[in-house]
Amino acid sequence: MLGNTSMRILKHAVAVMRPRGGVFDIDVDDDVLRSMAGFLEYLPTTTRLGFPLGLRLLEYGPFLFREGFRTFSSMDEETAARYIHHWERAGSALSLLYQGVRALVFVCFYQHPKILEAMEVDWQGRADERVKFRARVMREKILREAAAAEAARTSQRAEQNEQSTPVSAGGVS
Amino acid sequence: MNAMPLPADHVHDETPPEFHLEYPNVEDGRFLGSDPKRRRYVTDVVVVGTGAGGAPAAAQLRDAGYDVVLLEEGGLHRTESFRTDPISSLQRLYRDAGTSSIMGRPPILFAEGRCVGGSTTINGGMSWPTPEHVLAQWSEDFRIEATDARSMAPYFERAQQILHVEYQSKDTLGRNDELFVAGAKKLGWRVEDNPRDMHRCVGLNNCGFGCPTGAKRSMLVTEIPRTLAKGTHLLTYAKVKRVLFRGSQAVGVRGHFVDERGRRKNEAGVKLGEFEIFADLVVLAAGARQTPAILMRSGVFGGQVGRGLHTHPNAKVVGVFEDRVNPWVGAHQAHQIHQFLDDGILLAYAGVPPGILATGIPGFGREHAERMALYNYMMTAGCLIEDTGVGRVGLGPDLEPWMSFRLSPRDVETIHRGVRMSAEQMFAAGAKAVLLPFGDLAELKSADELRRIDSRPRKRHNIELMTVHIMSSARMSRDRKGGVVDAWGRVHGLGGLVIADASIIPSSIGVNPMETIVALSLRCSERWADDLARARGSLAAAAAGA
Repeated sequence: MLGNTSMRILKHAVAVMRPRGGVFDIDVDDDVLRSMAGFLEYLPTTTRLGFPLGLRLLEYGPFLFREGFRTFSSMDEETAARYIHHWERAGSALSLLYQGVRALVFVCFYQHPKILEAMEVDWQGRADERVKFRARVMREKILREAAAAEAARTSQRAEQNEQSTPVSAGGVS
Repeated sequence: MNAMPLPADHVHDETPPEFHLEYPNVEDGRFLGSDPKRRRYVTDVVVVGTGAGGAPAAAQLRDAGYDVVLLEEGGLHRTESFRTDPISSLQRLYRDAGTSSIMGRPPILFAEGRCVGGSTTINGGMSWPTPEHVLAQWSEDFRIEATDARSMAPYFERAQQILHVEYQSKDTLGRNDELFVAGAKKLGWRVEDNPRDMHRCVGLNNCGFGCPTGAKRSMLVTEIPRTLAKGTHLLTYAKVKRVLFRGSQAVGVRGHFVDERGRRKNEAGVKLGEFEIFADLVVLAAGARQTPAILMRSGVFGGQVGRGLHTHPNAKVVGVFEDRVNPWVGAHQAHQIHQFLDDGILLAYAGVPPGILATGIPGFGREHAERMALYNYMMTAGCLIEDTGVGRVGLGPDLEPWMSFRLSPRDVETIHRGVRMSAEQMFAAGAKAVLLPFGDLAELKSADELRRIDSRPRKRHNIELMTVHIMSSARMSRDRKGGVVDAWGRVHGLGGLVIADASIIPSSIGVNPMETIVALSLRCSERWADDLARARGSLAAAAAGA
């Protein structure tokens, strides 16, 4: 699990990167943060261990890259956005870290049930409906096939009876 | 006939028949305790992996009368557990929660299944036989025995029976299906109906996260329950670390159990136990990334192990339309365009959830929101490239595999051609804008701007690529110099060790590889059953003689 410092940096990253305006102005940031922290648990060991180090680099980057004497998490959102754009264009490992954090923010943000609802995307509702629909289709198909098989058996039995009738009719009695 | 009969005794339920499939003989490795003593099993055959290669091999060997133990590093997730939420699905069904990548310029995002059924549980189900020109290359250029189209035909036929390959019902198509066809027709391109492994698909577009309706004929609902019912034993959450040898003869595998996160120490801090399985035949079917890693961890280094990796990369193009597309309504890739396969280009499309699509849309904050607000007006398509570059699987200091791939100049050119075609198709279908996978050329506003793709400098580092089709990292060859296994998947120079997954595919095939993997697995495992019978016959004869 991420420590307090990592969570503080990540929280600021969410606040800066999360989509804004229109239907997206819904306060889901804490849920997004929790979802991101949970997701990290499933990443490979090297990524998981490297992630907090990457966050520290993001936090103290302004010092390291001579961009001022402020940490990332103490920047206002406009300044922080400008600073993150530097990372986006930096290339190599810095860009990869930017891409990774950004991907996590977006997956957790856009898949939040409230955001999906605001976007008018009801994939799960459709899934529930499609499951029932296919159940009906398959039930009818199985019953139809069973009826056809039964009809075939009946006709086969009738055919056999027909063939055997003369023998029994002209039997020993 | 190998088709799994559907349970007929649940027809009165409001649930599909696949919800009622039985999975006997399964042990969940997470609950086998932390006993410091290794759990030991003795069997005829151990199969590592339950996907397109492992499941058919296990089933066929069980049908031939051998005791089989199947191992899977992920869990058994039943049809009724599948959801449309990518977050929990990535965590439960994908290795590394879908965040793996292949190193190189550019890095290529890679995803594979880590669950019972392997990648067949989370793929789109496209089922194409290996193209004939590729089979000709295998049999004529590489001189690999019995890989010509005629010899392979019966195995493709059996693979299609198992996979229950059919075309999409027209009543389940969505707007994105219509647009894909309309764009192609306007350009005079031929559109193929896509054969997929399904039984009355109802068009949910959730194939990538498991099919909640049960329609997809993945190994999870076909060969796995069929072979379990016949007595195959399945151990889940079992990660194989290495193959055990006596001299040059493989005698089994060793590994340890993992939790749902793929870790040996579970959330309660308990270290999960180890296992050893002794068998006459060890079948590796862990995929083109894990299989060479298991070989290397087992001391099988050098030669061609891990070399020759192909990645079949794909580049995404997003069209933005005036009218609603609702990409979440319709079928997953009911069509493809194969007209340009000879040039190494396959054109396709897919319904992508907002959270996943968002990662490929440039920017963040307000800028990103403005684009994503049009999600319901977007259609995602793209090109898959038959690559000619050089790739490799190696072993890192943590003994886990890494992959690298270098696109050839020809690949870079083919990607540009494929992206241009896909964008052209979008505009022909009526798109008002098209988003591209190039960092320095993110958007085109009209078809007039397509020439900007032609004039883009062929820089490779800022192209966004991903793949789900890696192959050839332990490929078939006539001898040890050219590959890792012989024409029947038997590892050169070692006894009792065979491979049945995408790693043995001798070259890039240019189409979705599932059917090729199933067919090769059936073909090889038929031979392994004969080999085992012969070996037992000789042993019995020797014992009788003594």
